[in-house]
Amino acid sequence: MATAQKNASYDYLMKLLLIGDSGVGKSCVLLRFSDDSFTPSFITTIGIDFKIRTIELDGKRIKLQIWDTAGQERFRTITTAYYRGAMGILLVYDVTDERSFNNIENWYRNIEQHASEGVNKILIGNKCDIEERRAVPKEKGQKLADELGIKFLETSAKSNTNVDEAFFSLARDIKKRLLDTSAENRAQPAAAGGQDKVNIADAQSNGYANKAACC
Amino acid sequence: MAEENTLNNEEYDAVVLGTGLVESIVASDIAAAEKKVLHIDRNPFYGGDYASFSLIGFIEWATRLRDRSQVPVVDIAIGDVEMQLGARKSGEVSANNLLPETAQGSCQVGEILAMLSEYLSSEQLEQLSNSDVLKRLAGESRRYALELAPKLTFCRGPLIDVLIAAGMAEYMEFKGVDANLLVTDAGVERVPDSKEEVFASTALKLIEKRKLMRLLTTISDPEQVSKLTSEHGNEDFGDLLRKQFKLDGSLLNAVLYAVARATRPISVSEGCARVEKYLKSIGRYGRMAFLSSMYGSGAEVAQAFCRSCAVAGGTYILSESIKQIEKTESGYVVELSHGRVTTKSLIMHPSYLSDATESETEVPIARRFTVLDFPALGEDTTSMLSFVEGSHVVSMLYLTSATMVVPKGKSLMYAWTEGRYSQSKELLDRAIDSAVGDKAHRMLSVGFECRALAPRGGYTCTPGMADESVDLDSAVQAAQQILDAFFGSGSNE
Repeated sequence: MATAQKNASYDYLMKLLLIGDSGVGKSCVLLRFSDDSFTPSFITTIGIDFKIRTIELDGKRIKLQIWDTAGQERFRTITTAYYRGAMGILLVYDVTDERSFNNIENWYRNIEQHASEGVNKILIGNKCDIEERRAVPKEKGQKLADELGIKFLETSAKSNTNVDEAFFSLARDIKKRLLDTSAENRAQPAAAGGQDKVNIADAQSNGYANKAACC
Repeated sequence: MAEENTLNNEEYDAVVLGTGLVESIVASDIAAAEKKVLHIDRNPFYGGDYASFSLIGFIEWATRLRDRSQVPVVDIAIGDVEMQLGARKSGEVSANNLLPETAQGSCQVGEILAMLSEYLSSEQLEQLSNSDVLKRLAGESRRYALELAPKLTFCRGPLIDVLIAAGMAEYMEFKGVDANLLVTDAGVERVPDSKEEVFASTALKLIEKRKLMRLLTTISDPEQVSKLTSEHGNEDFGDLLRKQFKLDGSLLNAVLYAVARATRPISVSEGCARVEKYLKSIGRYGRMAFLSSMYGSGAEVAQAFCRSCAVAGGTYILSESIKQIEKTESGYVVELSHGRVTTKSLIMHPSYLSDATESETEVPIARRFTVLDFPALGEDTTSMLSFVEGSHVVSMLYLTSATMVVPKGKSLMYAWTEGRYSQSKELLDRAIDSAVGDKAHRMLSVGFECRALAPRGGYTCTPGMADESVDLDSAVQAAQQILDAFFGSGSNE
């Protein structure tokens, strides 16, 4: 029963990840997008696991499940499991912190190593509202994105600049890729992840019921 | 990457060393109680004794990262080229002469050759650098999840309860294990492990069906079980099955080994409890008793717990060396490469003790696995298997791309048994041969021995290795014991 309702509430489910150095504002970007809130804080984020927001693209309802690094980026100990099943990744740096920009290439390599091939990516230069302390020119960000062959946006979670645009752009790219490839089946809840996947939290869930829901 | 972070003189409630499953459950639970946790691994990967690797990652573990006191030797065969990592064929060849040439086609192949070169003769190195099998393996390296201790999850049991309670359903995906198989000389046969299965079986004779039904009915009835255990509780379960239930041959093997997993003799009470647990697991999520997690087992579960620990504020560092551990009146001072920290509690895998030695009480586990270039027992399916030869029992797992541990079209067969690898290698080979036959399909075969390391008095240690059981429940119980002690002693703070 629960499965059927869930199926009706969205057409696609997409898992997105935020990646980047500590302090670049990943959690702020996430909270701006999911809750439309902003809390300036110098405390390293703990406690944000993932957030959900359902958006509409070309008449399709897309449920975005966006995961934060949970502080495991501090010593670069992001679990390989974090990357499992991710369809899109937001690579975030801080335009006022050159080191965070220089580290993007390391994070990119990390993605290459652990995420699935073909995962969509977007480069985000956050905190673009702080023009007076800017250390990374916009052109430099654009140039890196061009080199990596990915899209680029400067955002500000604080002034709510381009945050929605970043997520929408990434979601649109993923949707296009899924339509272009047979991987479409993976994201569509009606056929979500094959017939015999078991949701352990759902005690009623069993192979037969899932099968019935698919056919 | 430059390290901008240090831990200088930070204070913790608990420092946990090792990111195997037991350590990870412990760390996660302590952090969930709003205690400050620092969780460390000396390796660049998560999972400890349960770690899983890409193909290249596995070669790196075998050649460079493995703890040689725990895993002294690793046998690897890539196609026809066999090598033993442990004894180095030093001085025979300077590998670097060959590498630029071979690395041209694929940098992954070059990477693997570079790691293996010191163990190979020059002919072998040349053979391997031209190996089509190696090219195919290396080209799809990331699509493999090769595990040191592959496991399953009982549909009912301590692990699944903990996973649900901790909200891990969001982190992990599972599939049902499609079949429990008994490997015999004639190939594999399905174990009639439920009333439904017994009833539907065409392989069983009517009299066999009656015997099995009687057993299943008895063990499903608490009254009859308590009668049985009060009368025969300490007797041998195998004897009971033979005498009272008249089971023999493959029927006996099916119940005693494939279902009750009596790799050593077990008592009637223990046997009844195991069969009962198995039967209760069936039906919760479908007709299977076990689930298999996607992308691998113990290391994935461990990482889910690590993430939940991090979400609760736990700090993580990998590739960290522990320089010194000093006991103080109020706890410990631990000197790490990132700085010195103090902690009230210290919980560790015994391998973190500098003078750890092999346990004298725990039997080592001989392990073998092979990557096959075809789905030997079916595509998109997962099976557990048992191979019985005299008093020796081999546990086996058959995995495919259904759980994303091999590329589509390939399959993976694990086999393990208690004992020295040198004495069990051939037994394991016979088990794999009987299950999948034809050696020509083997792309990669690996064998090694896992030794348990003994804890040392005065320290809280987790188990010294991943045990031989097919499920992860014993790890959860080991974690629970440590947590009980932690919260018991910590309650007066």
